[in-house]
Amino acid sequence: MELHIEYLLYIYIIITLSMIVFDLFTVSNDNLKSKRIKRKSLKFQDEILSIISLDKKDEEHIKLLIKKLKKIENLMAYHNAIVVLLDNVKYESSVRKYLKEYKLIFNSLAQIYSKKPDMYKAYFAYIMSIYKINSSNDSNYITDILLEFSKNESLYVRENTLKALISFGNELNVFKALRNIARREYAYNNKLLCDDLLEFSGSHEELARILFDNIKIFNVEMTLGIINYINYVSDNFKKELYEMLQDKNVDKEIHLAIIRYFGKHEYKQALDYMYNSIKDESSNNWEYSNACVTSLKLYPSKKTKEVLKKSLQSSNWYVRKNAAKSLLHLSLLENEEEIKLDTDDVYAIEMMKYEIEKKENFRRGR
Amino acid sequence: MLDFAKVFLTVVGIFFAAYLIFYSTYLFLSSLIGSIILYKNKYASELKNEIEHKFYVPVSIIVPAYNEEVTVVKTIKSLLGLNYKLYEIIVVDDGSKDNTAKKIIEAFNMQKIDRPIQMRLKSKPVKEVYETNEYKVNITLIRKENGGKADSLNMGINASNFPYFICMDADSTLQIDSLENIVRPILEDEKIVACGGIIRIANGATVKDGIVYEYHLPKNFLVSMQILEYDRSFLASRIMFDQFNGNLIVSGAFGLFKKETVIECGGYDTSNMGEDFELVIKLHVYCRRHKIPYKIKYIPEAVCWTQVPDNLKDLCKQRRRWNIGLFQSMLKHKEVFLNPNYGFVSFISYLYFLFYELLSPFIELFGLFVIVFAYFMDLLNVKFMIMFLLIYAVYGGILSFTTFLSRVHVNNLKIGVFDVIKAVFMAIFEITVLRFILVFIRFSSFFNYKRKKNEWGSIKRYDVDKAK
Repeated sequence: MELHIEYLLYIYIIITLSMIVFDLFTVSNDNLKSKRIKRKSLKFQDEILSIISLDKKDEEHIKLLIKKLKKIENLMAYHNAIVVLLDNVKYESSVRKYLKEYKLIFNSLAQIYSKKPDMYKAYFAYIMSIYKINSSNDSNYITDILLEFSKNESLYVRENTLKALISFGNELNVFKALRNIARREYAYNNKLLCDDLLEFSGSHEELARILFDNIKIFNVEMTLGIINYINYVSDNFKKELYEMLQDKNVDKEIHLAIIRYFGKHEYKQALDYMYNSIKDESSNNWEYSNACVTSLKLYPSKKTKEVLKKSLQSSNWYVRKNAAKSLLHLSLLENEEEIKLDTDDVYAIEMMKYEIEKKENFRRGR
Repeated sequence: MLDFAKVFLTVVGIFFAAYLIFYSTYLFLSSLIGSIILYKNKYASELKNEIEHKFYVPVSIIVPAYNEEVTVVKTIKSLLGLNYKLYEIIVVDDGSKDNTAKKIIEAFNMQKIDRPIQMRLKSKPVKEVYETNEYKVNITLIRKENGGKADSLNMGINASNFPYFICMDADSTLQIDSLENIVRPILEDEKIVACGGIIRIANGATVKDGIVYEYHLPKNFLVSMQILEYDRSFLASRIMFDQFNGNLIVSGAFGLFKKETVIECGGYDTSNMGEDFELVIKLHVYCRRHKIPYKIKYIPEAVCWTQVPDNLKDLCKQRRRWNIGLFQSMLKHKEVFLNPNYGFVSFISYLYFLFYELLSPFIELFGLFVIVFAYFMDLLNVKFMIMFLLIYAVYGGILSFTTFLSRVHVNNLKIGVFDVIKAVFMAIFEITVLRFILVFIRFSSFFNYKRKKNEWGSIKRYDVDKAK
């Protein structure tokens, strides 16, 4: 039997040589492309500035741009031009005005880009988030297309779309987009969601309200993101969140987020719940105890001091650590001697000693 | 006798033909997929198909250090300059005999503190803990009894405050955007338990405060060849393995891990010389055994610059460690071998590491023995053999060069014509010279396996800013 392995290698060599050709072609094509985009961008800058200087709308400019910006490379060049002009204080407000006046261009482009690949859709949504051409009361074609984009499978399309809608500042549209995401059970990291919502340009109070009123349609991860967002923007949800906290069917992570909410927004009615949670020393309850001892830093009282001191002796390391932090935060204990009078628990003393030293070092450092 | 020799050589010939076909295919596919993915990622980034966020995932950076007085202060300073907000730096001094701890304490005005550390992972006792909050992020220095790199990493995990940690080497420099890039996939997919960054060779690059100012192939031949080797073997193959969640290694020089999962599976194995490799296989085993959905990602955009050996002695030391670590890890997790429960991890990744990394020195030496045998039996076609080896060298060289070119291009590194010409020659040299040196080193590592156990792998250090 004769082996001809060399033939296979010949084939590989041909393929890899073509890979090198491909590489060299891509390198030079990329370089040419970036030069082209730079050149076109400068041209767009001049064009936009000349349009801005006109007294009336230039219909030709609209037609020309719709035609040109169909090509992604031109859209990138145009966007670069806009970014450069927006960065210039001298032109910023007139460029913003220009973008709103010529919104028609983007209405047409929205339709064109809705039929393009996901990567391009994401880019179109991204530039919409920068241009902020819709205000909170506007409802138009771009918004409708973006709401369609929010149903897209691509994370980047959805993410950029949500950013665009958030930049427009209409709470109902943001809610609708999130509802689309929730209905399709797409994964949405709670940190990402919270961060997006914090950028909302409209009324946070109204956005928080509409999201909370519909909280049941969201999965645990999204609910967490929404509660964390509410934690940052509003203290008007204490009663509702307290009710949710008492609902045993609600997920543990959501309970913990609510306890953290009460660590930022004082609600004395939640105190008993927190004291009782800390008392329960079962091993699967430590996360509740930990969240509660952390939140108690907002509730100075004799009872709080007692509960926190007892928590210093908890079997769980994190509970001890955060109890010590809360005690120091409330200035309920300023030295380890006080702990030593009450307990010979070496862990409690150790933890308090560390937190006191750390506080001292921090003072010195500052 | 002649008949027997003919049968023997035919069987061996078939074995080697299959062996080379698989390897050539593997090299080809990894270079092709690597290049395509790198270009695709670059284009996606240009079109803003990426997650950009201010809400940072909190990360603890663990820097184990042993006799690192030359580089450790600079490393910490570069970490302080990262484009990231929520992180902490934990340096674990593993009983250094030089002034590693003293240099850190003085440079960062650190205060001694009685800090209780929850020892969730077993580690050698703590001697002292120092902290400072005078900088952008908290820095902690833990001085402990000597126990090796894995032991130091376990201590760092115990002391870390955040849910994700990064392990890195004290002589490495993270690129300014590396943390942002390595964390990004976690926001996209919560199933991720580990992310590996790309390790780039700092010799020849001017890297200051995590920014690359200049890039050239270094004058040193050995280093240049390693650059080509890193691009082909590490970059391209890891991108390919990433496509089926099959990476078995996240480099110890730069990797991000989910702390709870690492603790649950027992942390770093202190008896293993390839603790980084072992941890990743262990994560595969742990998650699959417990039916935990998981992903181990490779992120070529997250860059760490590190120094590689510039002399044969240091290279031998490093590669012996790697090979012994590979051997220990594969032996420890032998259940992955041909196990359908592990899918591609077993049938592609594990088999690749077994046959083309661990056993390849034996197989290649056996090949040489067969050539000599065939020659004496007058059954060797010398002309064919030389032609075959030449084709193979050119083939391997082209693949290395292709990956190098792709990487340089997508990372927007500017190199000159001289560098390109040099890369072509180095690619050929790497496959024809360095490869055989490494085969010998890996082969010899089995013979001093016991003696070298649990040592810190140290190479001669330079100031990265000045390293060229």
